[in-house]
Amino acid sequence: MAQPLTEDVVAAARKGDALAFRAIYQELSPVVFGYLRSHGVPDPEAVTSDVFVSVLQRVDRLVGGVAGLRTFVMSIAHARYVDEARRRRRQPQTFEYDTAFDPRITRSAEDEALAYAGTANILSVLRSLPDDQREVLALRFVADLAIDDVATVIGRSPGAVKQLQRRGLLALRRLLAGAGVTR
Amino acid sequence: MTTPDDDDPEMTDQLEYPGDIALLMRELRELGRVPPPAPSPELEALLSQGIPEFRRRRAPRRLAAVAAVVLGATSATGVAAAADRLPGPVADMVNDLTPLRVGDHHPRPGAPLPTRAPRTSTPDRTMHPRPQSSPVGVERRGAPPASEPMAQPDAAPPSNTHDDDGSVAPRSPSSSPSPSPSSSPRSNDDTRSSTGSQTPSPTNSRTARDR
Repeated sequence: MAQPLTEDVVAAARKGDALAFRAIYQELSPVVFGYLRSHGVPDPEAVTSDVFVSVLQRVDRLVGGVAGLRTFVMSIAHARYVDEARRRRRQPQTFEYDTAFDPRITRSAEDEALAYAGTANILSVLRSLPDDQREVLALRFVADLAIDDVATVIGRSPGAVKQLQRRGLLALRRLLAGAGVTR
Repeated sequence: MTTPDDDDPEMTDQLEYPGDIALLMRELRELGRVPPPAPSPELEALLSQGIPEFRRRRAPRRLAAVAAVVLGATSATGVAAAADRLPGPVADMVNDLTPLRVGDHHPRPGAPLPTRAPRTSTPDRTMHPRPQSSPVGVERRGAPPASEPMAQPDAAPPSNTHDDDGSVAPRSPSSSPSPSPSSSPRSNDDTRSSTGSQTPSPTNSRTARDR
């Protein structure tokens, strides 16, 4: 069982301690994984591992304790997502046709219920948001960063982040209402 | 610093359906509360072994070594360019390691002369006292310009044979023909500088005898 993420754990990680590394991974990898999923990264597990390899190789230069570590991890995750998105734009992926992924096919009531029961629906609606709004919502709520930290990660002002968050939440609610989901 | 939840009430109060928005936020947060994914083999190695201290310190040390080499090379070439010659140790190193001969044309002021004296000129000729038999100013006037010996680095070292053939004879200031470069008065100078000047040199003894 990994130890909880504390300032001591971060200090031990800075010295290269393997147990501290594992504690960091246990605590923050779900956040990175969810962040990458919210952006629709094709292989979020592999990219999450890449993110943590980078994090652990540079953790000795970390400042700011646990909060600094969280921001640092999400900065690297954000950079990896941007790289991945650019790579995908340059080399579009091709898939075989599958009716399960064809939005023109009407789903049954059972499919609808199953889809909306879990996180699949919010993920699909989230991906239809503009990039900057989705980015802010993912960092604010999935990664649980404060406004100032989100501003640091994406290089915008805190005021701009607040505006993007507000617009994103409204757009998200509108999209979900348009999809016929009652909450 | 604000915490993640600080501005949630602010956000929800501004919206028409706060309950809806709060639910959305909760769902978004649920996306980050899943079991950790399985690490890749590379990450698993890091997680189980950590990173030894020496590995993390190697990169800065390597960077410092490269910076030192670059700084040293830049300084050496800068000094060499400013002085129009290589620094002494660098010239010696080039002479030792390559067939090139650098630095011969520009002997160092403080360099010892014995090994290089036969091959190079003696720029500090006036430092040595002149023999009594030579009139003042003869050798200076008949001597080639300072740059001339440098153009003939392979001139034979002064020896007695040059003196024996009579080409080098004491000359008065008015009757000093231009001697051949190999038998210029510089040869006598070289001999004097290596033997000391307070006592008459063998050359001077011979020239007096010839007379």
